Amino acid sequence: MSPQTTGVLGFCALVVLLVFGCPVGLALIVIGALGVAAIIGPMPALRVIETAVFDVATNASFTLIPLFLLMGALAARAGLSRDLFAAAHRLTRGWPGGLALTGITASAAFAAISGSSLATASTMTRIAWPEMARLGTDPRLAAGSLAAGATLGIMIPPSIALLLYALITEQSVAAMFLAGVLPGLLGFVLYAVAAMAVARVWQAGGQPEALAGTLSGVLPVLGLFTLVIAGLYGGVFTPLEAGGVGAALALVLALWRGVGLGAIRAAFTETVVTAATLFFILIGAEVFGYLLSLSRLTQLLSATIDTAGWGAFELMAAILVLYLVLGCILESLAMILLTVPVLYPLVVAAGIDPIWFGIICVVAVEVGLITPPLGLNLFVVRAGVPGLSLGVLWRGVVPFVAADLVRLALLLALPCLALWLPRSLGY
Amino acid sequence: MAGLTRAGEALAAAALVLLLVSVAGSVTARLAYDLSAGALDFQIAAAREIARYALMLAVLAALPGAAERGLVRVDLVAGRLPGVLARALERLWALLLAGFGAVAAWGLASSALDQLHRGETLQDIAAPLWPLTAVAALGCGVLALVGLWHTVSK
Repeated sequence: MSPQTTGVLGFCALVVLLVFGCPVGLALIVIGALGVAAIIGPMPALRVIETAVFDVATNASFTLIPLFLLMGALAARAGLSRDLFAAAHRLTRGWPGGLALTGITASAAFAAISGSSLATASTMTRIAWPEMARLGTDPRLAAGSLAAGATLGIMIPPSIALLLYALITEQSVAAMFLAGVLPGLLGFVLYAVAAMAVARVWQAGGQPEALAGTLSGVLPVLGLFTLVIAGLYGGVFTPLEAGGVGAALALVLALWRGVGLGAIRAAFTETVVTAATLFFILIGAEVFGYLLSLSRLTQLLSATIDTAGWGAFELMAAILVLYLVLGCILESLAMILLTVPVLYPLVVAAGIDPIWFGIICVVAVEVGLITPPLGLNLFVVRAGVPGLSLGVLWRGVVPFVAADLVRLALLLALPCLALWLPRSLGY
Repeated sequence: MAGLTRAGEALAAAALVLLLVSVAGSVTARLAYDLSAGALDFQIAAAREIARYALMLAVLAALPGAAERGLVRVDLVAGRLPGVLARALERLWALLLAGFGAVAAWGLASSALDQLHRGETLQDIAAPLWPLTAVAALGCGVLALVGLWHTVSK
């Protein structure tokens, strides 16, 4: 059997294992190792696994992943979500859309710090839903805004998804963070417009009652964000150091706000477990990468795309469809780790800017998270609201999916939305 | 088994503290050095190497706990399979996980022995490397045990 045939069969087997519930990292390791064994023998395949474990687990570049995760876990424990919601309400009070706009604003800010859409959807649903229900916000609008708002932070630095993309494609972390700023703001504006329009059409905004809370609650988050980002772009910190400083400041903030040692220990434990889960997939991606490299599968795919006469646009369209489908069934970071090593060489060969592709890829991944019927954020919101029907959720999220599709179309048509800021600042 | 995985998580959390201290400490020390024009020099030797090995411990010691709590998977079809088939597949995945853990543990244990025989140390502080690698091997060994446990208990 030729190496390329082995690669194709390996890819098919990988899909089968994933569909039948094999953990993503394990499927990548097993298929990668079996493929390598078929091409160059079983002993080298075992060596590939051993090497991948050591190389990934001691990779200095990956050191910042647990640090940024820790920053998010500590910020969540410090009770910032509740303060953010109150502060966002002060900012958006009186606007059409009522608490839906508040939920979107607070979710975007919290997701930027926590780095996880699913964690944000879960946390903000617990905080915001009771107030939304009490003040009569239409359940469709409330649920849709919470599910969608949680996806915004992935573009706002420091973003774990953009960080992972930068690390596995060896792009500049600072450039990726900068590239996400305008698309992130665009997403926020489009969601806000969608919420206001829906509130008007459905008469869904609820009573305009003022909630308790001050803008000062947002200061700790703003301070943490400013120090990390200003330090990073001011040349004071490397990305790794920014992660360390951010986590250390979040720890100080948590202690200052009276978070107990038990909760802090829980944040550390939660971080290492999440990091281990991600690193397991990274190890799998490394092993599967050996198979891709040995089998020259990427070159085969590239040649097939050339033969089919696909240009950059067709390739991007196909990748977008793939992401929108995968986003419905797979967690966003896992999806990036699973797909980018395969797709990135094709994208580069097609002459597509890797930073622009990274932004498109991350936005598409997040759209998948709220796309009915299977978007994972929808299930997270539903889990936090007993009795909420999926039909209500699906109808509520449709305006926000439409807003995201507009954003994707704009990003596809205008790459400068992603590239202008990093290029202007010399990246 | 739960005790072993909890111990691994505690060790991993301690390694994360070490990682945080080495990174945040080295930034603080560097800023102090720069701001004092070299008068305050308490920079951490081997901070980068300490961070790399702390990362290894944090990740590999927590891996059994991550496996116990549930690794990332697509359960769209798996969740709808008949009970017998679903349990058989779970056993298969657990066995494969055990195999991976055993291979990784073997590789890391071999590396630890090599490091011991060669007397390898961290470059700047001459601390032996082999205990760190041996603990990481232990973490992978526990992962293999977790996999085996789930193979026979599901």
